[in-house]
Order: sequence, then structure tokens, then C-alpha cells
Amino acid sequence: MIILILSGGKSRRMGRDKSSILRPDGGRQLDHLLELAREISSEIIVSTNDPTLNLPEGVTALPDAVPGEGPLAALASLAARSNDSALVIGGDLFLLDSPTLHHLVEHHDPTAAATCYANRIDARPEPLCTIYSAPSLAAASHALASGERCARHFLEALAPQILTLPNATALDNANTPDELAECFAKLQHGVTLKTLNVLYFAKLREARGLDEERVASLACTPAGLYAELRFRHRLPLDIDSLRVARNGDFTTWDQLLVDGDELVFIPPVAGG
Amino acid sequence: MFTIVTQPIDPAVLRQQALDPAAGAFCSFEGWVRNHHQGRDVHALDYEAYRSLAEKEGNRIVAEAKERFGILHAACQHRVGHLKVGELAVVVAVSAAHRDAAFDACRYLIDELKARVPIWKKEHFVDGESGWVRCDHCHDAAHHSHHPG
Repeated sequence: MIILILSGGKSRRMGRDKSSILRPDGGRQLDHLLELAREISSEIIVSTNDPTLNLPEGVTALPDAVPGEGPLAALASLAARSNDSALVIGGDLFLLDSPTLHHLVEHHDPTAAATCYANRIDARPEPLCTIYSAPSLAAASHALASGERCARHFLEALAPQILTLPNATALDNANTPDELAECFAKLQHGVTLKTLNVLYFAKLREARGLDEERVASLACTPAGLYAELRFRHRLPLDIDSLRVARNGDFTTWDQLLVDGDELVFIPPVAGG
Repeated sequence: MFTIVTQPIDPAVLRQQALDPAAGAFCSFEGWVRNHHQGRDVHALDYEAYRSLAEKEGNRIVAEAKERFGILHAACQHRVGHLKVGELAVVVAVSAAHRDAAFDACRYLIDELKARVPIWKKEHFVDGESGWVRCDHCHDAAHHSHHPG
């Protein structure tokens, strides 16, 4: 089986290539993923459109046939050069660990079009820590041709085998600096279940349909908590437009939460 | 002193709180509910506040104004709840030894209160629609830090 690591490119919201980010231990994110991949297979390919990306001996770079089309283009490019199945790994999985990959490989049904994990919040299939059969990889180019750009839609259409994550947060990803800080906090401080009190005001109160709730969360920081709540309840406001208060006063998004904390996500204010 | 109130604001009470024999100047600002916003007819506003933090932040702003402008007193109230056109939403009352400080502090107070205090307003338009107003001149860092991709 081939391992395909999606190094992607420059992330708009992170302002840099996520696989080049240095982890709390000082190692490059891409090298962390390469190390995990080597436990599974010796045939490792990195999907990248960056010719300057530094790759170790024996690891192949695979540019997209059509750059800028996202993960499905990487799958299609792989299918064009190989007839093997592949384990596809997103470059921004900062919490991906060895047990998660081994569990996926061990429980993988070779007759399935794909084997993946259920998202820990909405239970939908996660497309970027997934084993795709060779025919499924080949189907990516057809999906692209028909206008599909969403890897999750593509995976759902394959009717994949869906596993439950052994470590719930292993596929939490990071699209913003605040979410990256949350991932790093989980790496450094561990993942524990906390019970938090959340107050909602104005637009968020209306969107959530209540003004206060107790929330069980695996988040370490307010940024992680808001990401969970926003995803679970489809809240309308981006974190960049909010401020946050903890236990009655303003705080920063990267402060560590403590069990029992009261959090308020503050929409843009408009007094006067 | 900054407080959130649910009943109609009486500006005379705030003026009373600013009285001081050392004061030679008094300046006040009243924010009224107006009947239009960005070309649309408004018939009422709903204000809500995260009360404890609103009063904490409001009182920080009052302390800043006293520190910056050397004023004697600042009394401010913001009303929450359902307000009709013409009603008072916010009143700032400032006394100082001289007029420059009173004018400057009054301006500072209303500007900072609008930008920083967790108060929100929902406009009810005459055509039946409604919507949350987004402060368009907030200057705190949270609104500048990074933009969604």
C-alpha cells in the first residue's frame, strides 16, 4: 500500500504551508507524518506543488496535474501513476498518531471502496486519513471532471467502511493560528474531558437557540471550544470576528481551559 | 460609574451625579434611537448586554477617561431591552474644571463604550425584517487580527 501525504501548499488562513510548521517538539509537521507513514509502508509519496520542499531520501514528490484543485486532484494524480491502493493523509493533521494509523490499517476491509474514520462530532466520514482502493483513486478524476471539489462528498459517495477513532481528537485539524494553538495545547497538555458553562448573546444566542448551556468538551483552549461548538451547531460567526471572555473577563483564545470555566463568545458589539 | 439599566434613563439624575463645587464645565452626550439606518426605516431596537462584563469594561473606560483628561466625574448609563424611536439608549455625563477636558472626555467615553462594551442591538425595520447591527468602527485588536480565508 502507498502512503500519500498531502502537503498541499500555502494555506490562505494560516499564511504558510501547514506541513512546514514546526511542532512543539521542534520537528517539522511533514517529518512527523513521514515518521508515522514509515511504520505502515516504505512506499511514501508527498503530494506537493512546491519544488523546493525538502524531502528525505526515498520519498517521492508528486505534483498535481492541475494545481489548486484540492485533495481530489492529488488522488487523481496518484491514480495516474499507480494501480495500488493508498492511505491518504492530510498534511494538517497535527494530532495524528501511530495507534490511529495502525487501527485503520488493521481494521481495513480490502474489499471496501474506502476505509475511514467517523468525525468525532458529526460522525460523517473523514476523507484525509483514509485508505482508498485503486478503483476509488481512479474515480477521483471523474469526480473532478463532473465538478466535485469536496473530498468528503467524494468519500461519502464511495459508501466507505467507517471506523470509530481510538483517540477521539486524532483527526482534529488546524486551519487558523488559533486552531493550531489548540492542537499544540492538546499535544502538550493532553486531552481531557471538561465540563464548561457557555453563555450566548445576540446573534450566537439566536443561532444556538438558547442563552446558556453546559458543554462537555475535549478542547484545551477557547479557540478549540468555539471550533467544536461552531461545527456542532453550525454557528454563523467566524472566530476572527469574535472576542472571548472567561470567568467574567476578556481573555485570549489560547488560554488553557479549566473544568468548570464559564465562557462567553462575544459577537461584534454595537452599543450606543 | 457605568451601569446597564432596564428602565428609561433620566439624564437629570446623571447630571446630579456629576455636580461638584470644583467643576466649571459640564458636558453630556445622549444617544437616541433614530428612525432610520443605512437608508432603511427603523421602528424599534432591541439592546442586550453581557451585563457583568459590560459594567466591568464600562467602568474601566470611565477610569481611563478620568486618568487621561483629569475630569471630576463621569456618570454613564446604557439601557437594554426593547426601545422605540426617540427613546434614550445611552447617556454620558461629565464634569471637569474646564470645558476642554469635559468635551474631550465625553467624546472619548462614548466612542470607547460603543467600541468595547459587550452590548448588542437588533434593529427592527418598518418592513418587518430585523437584524443585528455590526459595529462598523470598532478599533479593538480582535477585529483586525486576522481575516477569514
